[in-house]
Amino acid sequence: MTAVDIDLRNVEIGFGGPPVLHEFNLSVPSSQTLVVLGESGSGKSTMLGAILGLIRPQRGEVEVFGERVDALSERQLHPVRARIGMVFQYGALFDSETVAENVGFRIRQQPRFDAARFEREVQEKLEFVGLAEFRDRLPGELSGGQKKRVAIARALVGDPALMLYDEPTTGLDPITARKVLEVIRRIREEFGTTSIVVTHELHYAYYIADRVILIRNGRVVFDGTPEAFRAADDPYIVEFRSMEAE
Amino acid sequence: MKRDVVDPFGAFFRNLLQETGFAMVMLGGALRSIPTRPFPLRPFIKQLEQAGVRSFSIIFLTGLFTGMVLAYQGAITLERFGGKSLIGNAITASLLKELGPVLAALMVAGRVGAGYASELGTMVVTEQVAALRAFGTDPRQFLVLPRLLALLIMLPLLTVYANAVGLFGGYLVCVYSLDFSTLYYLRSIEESMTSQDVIGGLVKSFVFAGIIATISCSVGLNARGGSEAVGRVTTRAVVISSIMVLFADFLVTRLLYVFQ
Repeated sequence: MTAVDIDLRNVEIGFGGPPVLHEFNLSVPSSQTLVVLGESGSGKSTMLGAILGLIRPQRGEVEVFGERVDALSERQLHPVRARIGMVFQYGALFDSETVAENVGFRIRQQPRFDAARFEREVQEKLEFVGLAEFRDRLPGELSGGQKKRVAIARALVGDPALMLYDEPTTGLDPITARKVLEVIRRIREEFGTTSIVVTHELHYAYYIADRVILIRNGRVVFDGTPEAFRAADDPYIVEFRSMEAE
Repeated sequence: MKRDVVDPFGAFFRNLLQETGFAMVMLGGALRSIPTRPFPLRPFIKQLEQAGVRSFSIIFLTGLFTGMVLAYQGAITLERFGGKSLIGNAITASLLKELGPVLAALMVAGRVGAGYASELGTMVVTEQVAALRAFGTDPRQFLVLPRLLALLIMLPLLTVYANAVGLFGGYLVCVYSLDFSTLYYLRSIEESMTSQDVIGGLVKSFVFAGIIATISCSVGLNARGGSEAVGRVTTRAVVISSIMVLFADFLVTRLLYVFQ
């Protein structure tokens, strides 16, 4: 039986208005690349927040690596979060820190700073994303695509078992977006990392996905392979595909 | 929403209670994180510079002009009662007990508090705070604690500086405009300066520093929305901090009076 890294059961999350996620169920096995599709505001990013323990559900259970993250305190969440790499929508790089300091942030925050490990991992991760020569730049001096790749390098420190990507290609031109997707693919191929990629860009989803889900009004309305999604004749999916093709 | 329109004060006090609660929890978390390693030394040193060194010029101007105005106003008022010779005492007492700590705090609320709120607000809306949490770092330790400690150290020092510059401003007016001798002015300051006044002023500035840092960080971390939210929280931080400084000034003055 394949190990399950993530299990969301009957999750409900709201922010005062109608629930963003409603009776939401999702199971992600190890080493799978899951692409989460949906319109803006459909609850995709909220789902990532719930997996990381940044957002607490009002109802339901969120299990990550067998731990109920919805029931853990911030401190208890540390070991779980240490196994997760998160790439935020706009990179969320720390403005006042250099690229190297951003990438090695997790290592610098250890109770005992290991300078050798810092140098080794920063160099290794920056080389992986092809930005080793940018280590001394500040985030403000990078392009959008470079910021995204630095954010990926930062998330890779500590070799996480699970990578979460929130709209990794939004706002990028097709060539830069393809470079970012290549990195995401290589992470899966070289490290066997479980990945969840939130996007609304369908053509990129086909490029990296093992599995696709489509969220509408806080619920999963499609769950299957990219091929099955391409062939689905449900009117909403057909409309979603056609909107993306335009 | 309807209830808020009908009962705007209810909504106001509800929000105030919520925000006070958030600020207190944040402050508690920041203080509890002091023993946690690693201590955020680099952000702390940076904040010492931001809050202290970069405030010198504005505090210099504030202190100088306050001292000069006090000298002129004091001279006019005291002359009516034949007490012009007490001008040094009046300047010293007004500056050390009241105007030095309060004006330095208000200036710092406008400069440093606004900076804290806008910086943290920007970090919230650009998900940098979420990234800190995702990497297992407590934003209260990494962002709030260095700012709080830096201001607790720097505002009392800035207050001493404001007092010194204010006395110098008074000296300029007294000696070069009101024809007092330097020796007379210095002696009147020496005679009227008491350790109680100095300590009282420093106690005030310490309390004000805690208020400004806590409110500004808390308001900044509560930013919701896009860039317009950053502008909103910045204004809010300055307004609330300034009002709370004036309110706390009254309370601390009352307390000091009781203890004296």
